[in-house]
Amino acid sequence: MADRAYTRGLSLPQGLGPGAFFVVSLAAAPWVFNSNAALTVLSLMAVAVVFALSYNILFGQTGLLSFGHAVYYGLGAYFTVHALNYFAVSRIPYPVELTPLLGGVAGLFFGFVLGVISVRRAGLGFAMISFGIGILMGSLALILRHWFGGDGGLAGNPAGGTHLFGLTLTSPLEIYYLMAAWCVVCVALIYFFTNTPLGQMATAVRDNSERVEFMGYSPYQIRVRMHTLAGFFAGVAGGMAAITNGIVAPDALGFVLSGEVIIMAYIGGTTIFFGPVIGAVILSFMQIQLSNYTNAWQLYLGLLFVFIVIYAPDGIAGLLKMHAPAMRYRKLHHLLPAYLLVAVPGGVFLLGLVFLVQMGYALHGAQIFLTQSFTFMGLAFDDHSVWTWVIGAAVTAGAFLGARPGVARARCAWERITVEIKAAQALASRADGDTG
Amino acid sequence: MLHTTIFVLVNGLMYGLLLFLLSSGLTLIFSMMGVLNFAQVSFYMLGAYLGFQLMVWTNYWVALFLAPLLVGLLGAAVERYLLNKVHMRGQVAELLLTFGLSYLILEAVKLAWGVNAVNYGIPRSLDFPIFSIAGVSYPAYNVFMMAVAVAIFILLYLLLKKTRLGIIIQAALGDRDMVGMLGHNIAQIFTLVFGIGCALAGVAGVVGGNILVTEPGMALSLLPITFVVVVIGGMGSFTGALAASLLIGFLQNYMMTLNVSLAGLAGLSMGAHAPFYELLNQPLSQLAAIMPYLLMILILVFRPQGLMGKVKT
Repeated sequence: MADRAYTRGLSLPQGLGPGAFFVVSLAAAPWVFNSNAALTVLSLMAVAVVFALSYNILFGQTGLLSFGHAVYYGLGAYFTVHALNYFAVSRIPYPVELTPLLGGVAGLFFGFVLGVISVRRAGLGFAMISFGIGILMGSLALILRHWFGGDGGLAGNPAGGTHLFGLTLTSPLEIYYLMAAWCVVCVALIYFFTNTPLGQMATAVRDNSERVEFMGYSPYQIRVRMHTLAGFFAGVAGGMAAITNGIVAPDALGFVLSGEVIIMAYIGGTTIFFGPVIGAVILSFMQIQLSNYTNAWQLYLGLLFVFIVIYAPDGIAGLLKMHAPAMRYRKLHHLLPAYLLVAVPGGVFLLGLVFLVQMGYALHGAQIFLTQSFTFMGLAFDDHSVWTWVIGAAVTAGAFLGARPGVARARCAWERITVEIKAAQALASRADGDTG
Repeated sequence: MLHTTIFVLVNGLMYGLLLFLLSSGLTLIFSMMGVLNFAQVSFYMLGAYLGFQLMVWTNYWVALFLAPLLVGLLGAAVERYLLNKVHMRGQVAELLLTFGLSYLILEAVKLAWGVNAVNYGIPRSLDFPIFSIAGVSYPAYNVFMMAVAVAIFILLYLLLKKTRLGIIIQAALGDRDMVGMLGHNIAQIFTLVFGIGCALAGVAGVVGGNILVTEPGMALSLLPITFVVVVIGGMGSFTGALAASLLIGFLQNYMMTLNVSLAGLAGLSMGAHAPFYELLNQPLSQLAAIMPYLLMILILVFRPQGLMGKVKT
């Protein structure tokens, strides 16, 4: 099913490049996006990155598709908020900057307890059970109004209490750098963990649990440990979110978030370590920015997700990785003409699709408010005229058909360069053999 | 006391049969194809919306036949053009695809009918109280719904056990390639099964959508409980699904009549700061909503294959 990229893990020097890029872009981001709102968005992206990677400990690494991962995130967030409120009045000098660790411990605890119950089965059984547990905890959060604060949630003030390094956590910039620091620490820990014996055994359990059992390991025990660990990092992510937002509501345990983390991890690519990072950035961006422009952003997200599930199971990271050999052997230019042939009609098709969807929403809005006129890319269109619909649909369908020759040509080009790269590799290995 | 018992029995039966109606399609698809259709309740929602729309345009009886047919056709198209493509990659990929599909259907419904509930009413010919027990009268429509659920159970049973098609489907589950070699078109059979499963969800939508509310949140609100039914009943077992649906229906309705808390049952009196104070002092009627999930956990601990499940997945 999944490719072997994760099994091998990235060796240290290989991971160093993306890692350095990741740290530098985290550190430099506030110079580019420096408004308070943008800084909060960046902080939430850092949270999403940790959350998505914690999810991938389960899904990408251990092969456990969970539909209730937000439980550990939400509980981590709640424990952090309770800790914030407790330390703000008590005399225990526990620094606020380290409270996500407490969220992590809560996630660890619940990850273990619920893991013991739920990972007895893998595959679809686990998917359904994790879903049931997620709904159970989400409903409990709404029933236990005192501890979870009811619909409105609980507020906690990260500015109170003791602080490290003279921080005050009053400005979004300070909060962002704290989140970035937590993010880097967590990403590094999760990354190094993939190469530990347990991390490697988890991948083995994912690929063939029966063989693991024959070797004398217990797949169940390995799954419990991985579930516990994923719970820990999800709890840390929840704690980070609690500090960023200063409030946590029962939604944090809810199914919507559990679904989102699946989409993040999968769109980015679950078989490649940095894949979920890409997915987390894309989904946060869509959620926060795109939702200002269109109420159909979830439709576009769903379309992207379904496309990735069918055509690119290794996600966006997988698509990028696919081109690495072509780049190394300088064959990328063979692909470009075909890609252009796809990109032009493909772009028109996407625009047409967005046009039709937006017009559909506008028509709906018009039915309710009777006033809105529909504009697309600065032009006004009559969304009540049949002709606008017919022409829009015809252009979209035409563009879809128009992309087909390009796709066929891209396939041919791929076949050609695959052969050429294989030949080049064979040549290189023979040369190696000669010198060695 | 007698009043409560009758209330629990009748309401439990109604709710239980509605749950079975919902989970029957899921069970059919899962037991025959090994696909856990996350979008099952989305097809149910689509059935309800189409039922509403067709009822506006024509009448309820046309809607009752046409809406499931349309939903079934859509389901067959989904299997033929999307699900087929990921079948080779296994059950998790199929589950993810249907998960994505549930997003798309939800958004499509919002696009077509808006985010608010639509006014999907009960047909006038069935809108009268059919009998009354102990001063509470029961609407004829609910009895009609129960009849539909029972009819579907019988039809499915006959389809799978007594018809040639059912035998081929069961054989295909056992050895897909061999049945293909015998000259049956396996791909077509799977498309048909998926279509039937979705049509069943469509029936549940048309029949249940006006008892519950027809709104975009209706799918997600029923999804977890149908999964719980399938897990408790034993994945892929029809009788198990029926038993689990009724069990949940009765238990949940029974709990709703109880006004005592767990602490009260145990005779505990505890201070407001004791651990789990809130949970233990919650009246049981409040906890009725989470009972199925607790039941699921108990089943998993003590009988992992479910009530009637044969294999441990």
